[in-house]
Amino acid sequence: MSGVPVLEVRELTKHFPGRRRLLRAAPAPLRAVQGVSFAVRRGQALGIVGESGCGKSTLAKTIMRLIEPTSGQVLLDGRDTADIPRREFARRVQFVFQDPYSSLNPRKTVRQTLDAPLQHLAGLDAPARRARTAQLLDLVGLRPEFASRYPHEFSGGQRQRVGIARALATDAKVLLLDEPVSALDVSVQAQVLNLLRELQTELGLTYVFIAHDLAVVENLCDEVAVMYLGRIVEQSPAATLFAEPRHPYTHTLLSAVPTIGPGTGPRLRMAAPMDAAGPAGPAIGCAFAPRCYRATLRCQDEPPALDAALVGHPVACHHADDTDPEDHAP
Amino acid sequence: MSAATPPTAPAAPPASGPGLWRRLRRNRLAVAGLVVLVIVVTTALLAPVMPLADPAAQVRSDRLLPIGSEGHLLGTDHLGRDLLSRLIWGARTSLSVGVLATLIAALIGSLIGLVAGFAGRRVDSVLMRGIDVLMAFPYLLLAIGLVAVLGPGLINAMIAISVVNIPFFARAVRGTTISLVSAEYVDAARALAFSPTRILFREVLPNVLPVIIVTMSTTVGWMITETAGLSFLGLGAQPPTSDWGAMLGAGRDFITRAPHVMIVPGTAIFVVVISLNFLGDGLRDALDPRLK
Repeated sequence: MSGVPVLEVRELTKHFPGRRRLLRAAPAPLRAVQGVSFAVRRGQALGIVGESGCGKSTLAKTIMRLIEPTSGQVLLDGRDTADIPRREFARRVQFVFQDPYSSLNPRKTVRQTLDAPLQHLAGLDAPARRARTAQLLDLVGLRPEFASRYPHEFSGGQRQRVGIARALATDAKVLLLDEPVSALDVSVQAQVLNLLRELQTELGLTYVFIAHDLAVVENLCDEVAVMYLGRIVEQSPAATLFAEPRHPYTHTLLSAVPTIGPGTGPRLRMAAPMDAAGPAGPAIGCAFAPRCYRATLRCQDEPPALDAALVGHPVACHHADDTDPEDHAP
Repeated sequence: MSAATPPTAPAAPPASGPGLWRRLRRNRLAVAGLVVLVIVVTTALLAPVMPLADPAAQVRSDRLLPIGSEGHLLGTDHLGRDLLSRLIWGARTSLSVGVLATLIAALIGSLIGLVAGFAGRRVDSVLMRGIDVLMAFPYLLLAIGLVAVLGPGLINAMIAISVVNIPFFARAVRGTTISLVSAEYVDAARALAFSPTRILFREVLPNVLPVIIVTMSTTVGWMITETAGLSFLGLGAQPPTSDWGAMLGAGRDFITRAPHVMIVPGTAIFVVVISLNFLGDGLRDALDPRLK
């Protein structure tokens, strides 16, 4: 619970330049990730939530170095990942993809899929790879004879288990999970989440868990960061966030979670739909102000900083300390 | 994108082995095409051991004999050469040149398509503009131009036909490659720090292979026709080599007096090309589950 965080992100920014077209001015860049910072301690799970298009996946892929950041740093055990050789980085940090149907090569058997990193990254010989494959399949709860099957012979949940096995092949201790269960059926989601929790305890894994489903995050994560248009707007321990959300956007997200039974949920705080001023829009004032039910003139002129001073955990809102009895989730 | 995108349709099962044969067998035309091709190829391969007349032997007294003449089942040409013998020996030349040209075009075209689709941006632009230049020429004209530069002959005709057909492979393969490069398993391979070459040949290529095979099976027919076309114009096979296109060309002066001299090689080309096209269509359907 102490010392250097295993993974630290400092002011990470990714802008996608607008595509230049003949005889037209280059459009403003798409600011997918704007100065995101966070740290994850060993064995912890950080959830990153936000609606579609808020930059969560870009953030994860930038941390994995699948996308080159525009600026900012990612540190692994205190070392800048830009200085870590790619293969070493790949051995220690791995990625679990969202879509289990496209994340496995349809022309490779499970054994071939798992063999590649074992041979290429771990340099194991054939008998050792065979043993390790069996061990990995057992670890993710698949039968050993599945090794010779092709992805199309599996269900979504089983495919995702193969994806997790691939990520764990070289004993990576940090996993970036990009919505690993959102493409699965609800019943299967629970099984995969349980597997992820077991693996975390068993292997001492550190997770960065991207999701748009809050229930999934509440279930698995120690800490949660809420992202809105490329920025973290609130970050706190999961229990605090769900009990006492401070940012109006967090409220909105929480109130959008469907509840069972009449009248048990909090009053709906529906945000206005995402308007034309999307991720590429002008950046004056609070980015959430156009959709916010609490917005004042100050919000439109002055961007709020991510500040822990008001309520004890980082929130980017001028009105985080306003007490509105209806804002508290039951 | 971070929203719950609906899972894409289950990916294609590996298109090989008994499954492919079972799907191909359901297409009667494809099977018929395959049977005809097997017969033609076997006959051509067995040419040296068959009791055939020398395809180059000229018997002045037996010129332009009609089909069914004694000792010359398919008759003779204007120099008294046995047409059956020339047809079977010519099959060896025509088929091997067509297949070889297809292989060369497939190899070079696929490589260009793969690299262009995978590298994207500037590399893609440069390679594809080159392909566009090739495509801008009427292709027989380009082939004739190339032979004019290289000099007439079977090998040069084959090279010309290969070059002319490179764009078809490059285009088809590039399109498929682009659609595959954004697949998450390519990202997964990058996350495992695989080199771009390894990703291209071990992850992308196996998935592009059906497209290459289908393009090959549908183009080999044209290539045989095109080679025959060059030979017909006297730019391909040189005498005394027999080749279906050259036979067709030699017969055109006698089309009214002895039409069989043209009909025999013409029918052979027609039958082989249409068989190849049926088989190619069948293969495409069997390999591509989206067309089911």
